[in-house]
Amino acid sequence: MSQFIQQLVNGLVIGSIYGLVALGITMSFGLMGIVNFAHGMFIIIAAFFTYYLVTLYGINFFFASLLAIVATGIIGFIIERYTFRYARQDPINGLMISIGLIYIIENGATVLFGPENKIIAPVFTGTISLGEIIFANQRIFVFIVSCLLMAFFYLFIKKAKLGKAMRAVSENDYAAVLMGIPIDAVIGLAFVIGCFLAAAAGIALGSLFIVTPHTASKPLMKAFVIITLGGFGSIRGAFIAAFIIGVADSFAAGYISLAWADIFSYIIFILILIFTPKGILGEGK
Amino acid sequence: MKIFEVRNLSKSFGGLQAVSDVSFDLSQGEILGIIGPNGSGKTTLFNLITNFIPPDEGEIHWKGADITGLRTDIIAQMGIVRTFQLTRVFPRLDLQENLAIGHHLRYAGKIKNLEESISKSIELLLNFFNLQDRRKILASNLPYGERKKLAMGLALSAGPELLLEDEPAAGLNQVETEEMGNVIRKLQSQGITQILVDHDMKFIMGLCDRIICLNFGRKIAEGAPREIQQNEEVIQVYLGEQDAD
Amino acid sequence: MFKKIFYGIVVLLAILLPLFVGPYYLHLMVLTGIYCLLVLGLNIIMGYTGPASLAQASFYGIGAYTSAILTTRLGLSFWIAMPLSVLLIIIISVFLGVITLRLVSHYFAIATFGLCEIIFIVMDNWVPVTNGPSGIHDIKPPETINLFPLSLIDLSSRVHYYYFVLFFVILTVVFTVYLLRSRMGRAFVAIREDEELARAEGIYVMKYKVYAFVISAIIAAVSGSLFAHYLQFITPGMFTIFESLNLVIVLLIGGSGTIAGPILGSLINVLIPEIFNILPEIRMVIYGFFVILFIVFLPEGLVGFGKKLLSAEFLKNITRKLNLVPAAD
Repeated sequence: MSQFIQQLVNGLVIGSIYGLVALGITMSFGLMGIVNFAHGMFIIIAAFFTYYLVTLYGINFFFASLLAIVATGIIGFIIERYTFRYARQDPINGLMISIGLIYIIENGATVLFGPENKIIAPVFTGTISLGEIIFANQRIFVFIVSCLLMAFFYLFIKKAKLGKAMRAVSENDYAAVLMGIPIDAVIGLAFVIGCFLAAAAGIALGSLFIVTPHTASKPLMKAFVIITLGGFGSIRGAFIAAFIIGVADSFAAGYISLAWADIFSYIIFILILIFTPKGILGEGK
Repeated sequence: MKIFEVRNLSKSFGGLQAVSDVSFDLSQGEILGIIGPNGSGKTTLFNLITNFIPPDEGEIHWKGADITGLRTDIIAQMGIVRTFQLTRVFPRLDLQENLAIGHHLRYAGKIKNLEESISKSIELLLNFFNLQDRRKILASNLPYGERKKLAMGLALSAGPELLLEDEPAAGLNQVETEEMGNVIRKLQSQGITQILVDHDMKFIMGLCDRIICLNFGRKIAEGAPREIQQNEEVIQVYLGEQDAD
Repeated sequence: MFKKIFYGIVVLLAILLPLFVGPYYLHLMVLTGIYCLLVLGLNIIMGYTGPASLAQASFYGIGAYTSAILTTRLGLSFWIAMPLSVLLIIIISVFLGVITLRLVSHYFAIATFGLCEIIFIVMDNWVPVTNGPSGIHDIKPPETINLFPLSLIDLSSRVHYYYFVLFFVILTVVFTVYLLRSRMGRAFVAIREDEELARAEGIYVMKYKVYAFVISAIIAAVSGSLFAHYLQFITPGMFTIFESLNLVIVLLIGGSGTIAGPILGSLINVLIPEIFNILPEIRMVIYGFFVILFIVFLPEGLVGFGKKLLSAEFLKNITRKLNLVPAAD
């Protein structure tokens, strides 16, 4: 029983991180239709950035995180402005650009930083115990922050003027232009927000697990599975689906083997793409 | 014998009723005109007949067979081909290659001298439209009038018995419109049944045996061109609710 | 006319190659040839019919593994194992194609991405059959056929294997040329250019997409067999999503939708690291920059760009601008 709860909790934690990534992708892909496989790159950029600031320069974790998130956002802005903007006609171009970016950043990181595992020193050491279940403080912290971030952005999209503008562009960009919405700026902003979220995910991952140039690919694939499950463009769907996948992964890793769990989730993903493209919650496009 | 029958065709998009309970039929070799203000459902009707969009209700019969909801390419195989309102051709290919693709249906299976037969047929079509000298030009480089001819040529390459033409005269000047009219008459003399949608009244009235007028997806009038021109409802629909001057 | 002479010379050079280069470069050429086959295969689904398939490396791997397993575990002859692996790939690709090809282009790409991952995981974990991450190591080159004059061919010799691969490359090129002129090839191009218009003209789009997918898969599987029996060992790590991505990039750089494109792209893929002797990671970084540059400025790839340069219109414009031709009065 206690193992069950332990797995559940781990699943929720990892789910919250997946959720950040999924939300980030929803921003650029679900809402704006930018096919960016390189989204994971923002995860590693932020993680490495934070790692170096904290480890080499001894900067406070929170401050370093902030710097990393901002830096990632700036890099994302430049990338969107000068590459993805040209790819709007044909989504396949976005895909190719992403591949190019992955090549550049992942390999660049390997050359610059080396392939060894790095870990960002956790800020919260120690654990809480409830009976036989152990919660690492850092995990709780990550979970709470992730959930807060996701909730914040959900409200932003629903209520804030800018958020509504983004939804408008997503529904019908032509109409949005006619209404006077500056779509280039809005799309760019959505993309950057996506980068912020990815950055947060990267920092979370780095502090809980290890960071290498290749750590991004798995959460990214999971994120695509998640937004497919939740319905492209649906934030609520991504939110729920993220936890489903996180918990499912955790249980699968605990009770079966991780590899077969991955296969299972990929198969579900493909089946959903084909048969219910609106996602199981039916909110997608 | 009615070669083509449409019964109670309906389609709605969300709350919008695009086509509502439309019925009509055609004899072989007839030219039917469909007129109506923008948004009255003319192009949607074409989409429903060729199943680019599946109808909600209704039936379509061609040569006695029920073709409602069949795959678009099968409907084409059975002899019904359409053109598009926004003239569609294969822009990155030259005229000859365009027409070669159009012949896909006509040359299926093992035919001796396939390439030769296709070439001959392409020659005939190019001559028919007076485009022989333009055959190596990329479709995207053609002036508008020639592109429209190519689109018509593409449709004809498939060997249709019923041709649905969506705005064949749109954007054409006087001379080109007359040429198009001649093409349509020639096709009629070859036994091809045609349905025309267009906004050029002179063009439609001059060519069609019968005309149907649509408004908000419903058929509001049907008859010979003379009758339609004098139909109260049709006139109102086109002139709108204008106060007496 | 020019084209035929040009290709004739290229083929001649290719045939005479072993006389000029040592074993190391010959080895590279064999690998290039196999790679070229893969890209030619990808060209059929991606260059001619349209959607980007990220599953090409998986079909490559399935071909390699099937051939390897049938020969090493079941003791079958290569000459039976390879056709059997083609048969298997036909079954698999028809099944997968029918399922995924109804998706629109970038969703199809994502789905093939998923497929690639699944197949890799199977290769990596199905230890009783594939031997997991360590791969299969005792693959033998194809047996010599005991039928004169084929008995003169000894495929354990690098030179002979080079010609063996070259044979398949030429075969595939010729096949592609005839395919394009055929009714099926025209349908492929129509689908790539305007799927709905193709449908209106009576082309059964789904059928042809599946055909293209299966043909690409067959070519990939054949390359896989050739690869396995040349290198004599294979591991799952050779057939990852990165291989698939690399193939797409090579095709794009060379020029998709052309025949020279895949060949040129494969040569570049192999020769650049040799000439510049750089770390694979740095090469990838450079590739990445090229890819982005190509998408933004040269979407037709090198061959397309070359064609544009040589096209009559372009030359006319240039000569007029440079005042080489007196303007008409």
